[in-house]
Amino acid sequence: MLNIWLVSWRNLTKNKRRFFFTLIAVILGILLTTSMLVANNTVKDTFRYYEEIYAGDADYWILSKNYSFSEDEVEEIKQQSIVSDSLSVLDKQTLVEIDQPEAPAETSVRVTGVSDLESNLLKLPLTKGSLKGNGLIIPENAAKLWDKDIGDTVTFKGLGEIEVTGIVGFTSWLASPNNWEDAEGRSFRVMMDLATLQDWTNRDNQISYIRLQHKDRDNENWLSNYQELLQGTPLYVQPVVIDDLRNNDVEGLYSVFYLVSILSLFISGFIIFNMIYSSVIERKKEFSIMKSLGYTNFNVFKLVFIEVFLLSLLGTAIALPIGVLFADLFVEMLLGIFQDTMVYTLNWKSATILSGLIGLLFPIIISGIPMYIAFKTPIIYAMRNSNKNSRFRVRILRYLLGITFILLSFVDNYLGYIFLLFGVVLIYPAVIKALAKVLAALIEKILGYPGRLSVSNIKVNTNRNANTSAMLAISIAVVIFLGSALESIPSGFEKEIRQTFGGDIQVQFEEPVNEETINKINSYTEVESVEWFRETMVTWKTIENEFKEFYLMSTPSKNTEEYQLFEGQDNVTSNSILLGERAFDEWGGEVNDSITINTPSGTREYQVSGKVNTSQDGGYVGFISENEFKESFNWNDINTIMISVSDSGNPYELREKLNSDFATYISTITLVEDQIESSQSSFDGMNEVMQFLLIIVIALSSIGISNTLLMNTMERIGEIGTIRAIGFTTKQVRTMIIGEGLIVGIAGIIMGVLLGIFVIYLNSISNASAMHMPFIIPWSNIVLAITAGIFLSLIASIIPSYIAAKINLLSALKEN
Amino acid sequence: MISVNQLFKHFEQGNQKIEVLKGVDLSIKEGEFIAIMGPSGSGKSTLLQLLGGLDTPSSGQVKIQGKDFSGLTEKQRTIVRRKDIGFIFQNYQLLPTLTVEENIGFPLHADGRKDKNNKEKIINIIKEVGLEGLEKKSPNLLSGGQQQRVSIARGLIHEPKILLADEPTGNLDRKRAEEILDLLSKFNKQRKQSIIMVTHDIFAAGYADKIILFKDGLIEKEVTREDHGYAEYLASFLA
Repeated sequence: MLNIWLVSWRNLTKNKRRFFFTLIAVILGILLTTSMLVANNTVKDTFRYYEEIYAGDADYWILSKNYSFSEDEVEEIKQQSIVSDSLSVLDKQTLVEIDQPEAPAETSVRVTGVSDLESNLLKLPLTKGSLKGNGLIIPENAAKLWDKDIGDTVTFKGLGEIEVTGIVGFTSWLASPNNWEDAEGRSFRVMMDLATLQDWTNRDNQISYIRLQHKDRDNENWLSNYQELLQGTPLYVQPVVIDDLRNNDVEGLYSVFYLVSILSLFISGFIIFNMIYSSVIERKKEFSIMKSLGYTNFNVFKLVFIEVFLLSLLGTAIALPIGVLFADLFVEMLLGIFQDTMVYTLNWKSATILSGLIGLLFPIIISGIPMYIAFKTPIIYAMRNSNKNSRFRVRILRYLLGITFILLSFVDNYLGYIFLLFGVVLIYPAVIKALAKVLAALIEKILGYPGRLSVSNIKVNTNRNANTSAMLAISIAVVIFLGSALESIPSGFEKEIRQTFGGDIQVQFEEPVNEETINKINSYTEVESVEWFRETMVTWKTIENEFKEFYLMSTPSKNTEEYQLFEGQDNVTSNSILLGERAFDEWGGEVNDSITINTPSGTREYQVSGKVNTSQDGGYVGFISENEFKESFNWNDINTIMISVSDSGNPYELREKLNSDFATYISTITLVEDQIESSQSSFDGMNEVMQFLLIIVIALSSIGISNTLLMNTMERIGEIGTIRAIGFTTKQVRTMIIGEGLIVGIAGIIMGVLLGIFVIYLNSISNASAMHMPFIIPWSNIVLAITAGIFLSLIASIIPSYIAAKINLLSALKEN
Repeated sequence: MISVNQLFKHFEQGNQKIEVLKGVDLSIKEGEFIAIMGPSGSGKSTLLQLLGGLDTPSSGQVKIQGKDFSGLTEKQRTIVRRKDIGFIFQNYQLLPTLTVEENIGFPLHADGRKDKNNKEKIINIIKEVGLEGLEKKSPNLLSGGQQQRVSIARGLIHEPKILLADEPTGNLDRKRAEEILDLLSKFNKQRKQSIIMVTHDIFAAGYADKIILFKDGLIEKEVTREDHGYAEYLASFLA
């Protein structure tokens, strides 16, 4: 009995090289998709994990509008039967003496005292030593820079000496600089037993805040109960919220993951389509014979279906494990961009299942048309001639549709890009023919007569060559577009940071700033003037009723251009709020809708009066009037000041001076240049990752070129035999095939560059992105794309060219 | 012009060794029109392939103008083919992406040299084979007879010393075959080119000066039109 699976397998592998290249394309497509999906899930999980361990198992925390408060004030709350656990915390800024050549004489450090180092409300990721005992817990960054290990002692200026008993991995609790340059702007953070710190600082029973865990964790009523209970006191309550958006400003990167996945699937899909389509067209006579011998349309369809299924099954089975391994390497590289050393667990299961399904279904969907052609092949196919007039009409219709789609790309919507993509693919056969004509003289000049033949050969299988070149063009366009985005976004950000940073230096104090401090800073010769704003962390609800948290800031008391914290709106009126872009998008409402915020004076509704551009907390922030802070919240403390440096002043020298004069009060000193540099370095890191990914995508496109050239070669064996017989050397045959690869490649590069620039232009006139993406042509990325495109096209042509040159002359002649 | 000495050719098929040519000796003079005939599998096409340098012998020599073909590298053989040998194939073997004139001009361009006389040569030969007006056409749009004329023009454009024709009329009806054979005969006489033609067709063979009859990898007999009982002998041999 005929085993249809075996027959399909034989058909699939009959042309071994073509099968191999197509399999490679399936593997690479699914491999990249798996990697991107696994990386996406893992990176998201990692950020969320660190937010979760920061939140611990706590449900609420009680803070004070003053710097600290007596634990007795919350004793009653702690003793409630509903409270299952609590953690009292006291922060103290101080100095530490580090005996390291690169270290400054005294290094700023924030010591956090906690009532229980092993508490579930804290969840310290211990990597060495123990959390038991009354020793010091330091993060890995500090251990490395300070050269301290378990058992070493650390001396805090004016406080005391303590032995290191535990070293922990990254946690937001103890986020510390990882180099000495970074340490100039922010302090180290360490943790110890609360009682010892209270004793050292003479703050008996004083705490900065307390965290509570409830037995009835889902009951939100406790928030209003606490608010009611604490009304009229300096204390206020906030629910503990896990919101990784505050620290994780890499949504753009997730879009790149999806883009690379879609692009690689798209390219791989075209390669599969080309292979199956060619195979079906080659075997139409075979199908008609099968049908004349009793096969039904469905039997033929099934035969091809099984071939595609076997191809996708084999490709997916190979790609999935490699994809997961690749994701591991990729996530490690990606998380390396961030300053803190994060550990991660690869979240591969759901992403692997999803890409497995995609891997199995996608080739089948993409092969729908060839399978249909096989299904519809008439029994009398061998006797039938094709209708050239109808082909001509189809071609004209295709081009008209393509041009219409390209015109529709001006629609200011994501749909515009999809129209553009389809438009380009539809008109590409005409484009490649035209480009081949334009390039003919150049190719012949470089490659001689074989080059001229290459130009003529492009006309054979125009659609296949066009599809292959279109894939390369689209990949290159994406490289160029992302290059432009990465060039323009930092410059847009730099402008935005300078305009909305608020002065030249921002200084955050651990304790409220008094008038004396401000006067002293104002008296420095380097200082032009000093301004301040008030801020506090609040929780709020999205339109979907989900709790989030961000910093609520007051507008500066002198809201001049020099100190402005946002742009896009002049000011904020009472009972209204302005949201930074990211906060506004996350909130999900419309301007003039209300937003619910748990403020230090209870839950309040604010009318959102607009979305503003701001560099504060990456745009994940809200602004209310200073009056609202003072009168509604009764919030008089100032913790952050903004300094405008005089023309003759040096901001770096001023930082040193501030660090030395207020070492035990200052938490962070950020120069506007630091902020710009930090944003720039993140973008640089991301740029490298993206360029790496996109070169892989171009490489995938070049496998498409290889596959196409191989198919073209195999179909023209007879012709190659003839030209060999009548005078072409093997070298000339190789040159001819390389020439074909070059035409496909150069056409792809030219179209890719034009398409990329067109997309940048579309973005620059789009209402949604014009602000962040002006019309910038990324010359370095264009050079990269052209170089990679030509290089990979040449590499892709080498194997087919050698195969063409090595074919047996006599068998080739018999092919005709 | 061409001398073949003790030419052997065998192919391996699995463990089996198939002897196709079993020691052929042959000599062809300049300007001779030779037809090679014989039953299928007798080795005549293999001989033609070895004469054209499309394949190498297992042993023995093929000398063209005294130069041993079998001692040449692949590239050198290609250059000899390009300069000294013209091919005409049964199924024309035209290149579908090139026009009629481009197909004809191929051997002139293949060596990479640009000669200002090339264009003139192409125009002249197109006239000679009667393809005026079809220069810019794709070969796919021509009839079988016209395609074979293109093939002949291509085989002759570089003025080779030897023209190898493998069943040149095999795909044509009698009238078209006659036209093609008249052309070959005309060129043979005009240009003094040696023509070696493999054919199954007695009528085609009748155009040759000499007919070589092949059987089991060896030359059975050489006959000429002048030989006594020529037609009867051929008929009985082929029967």
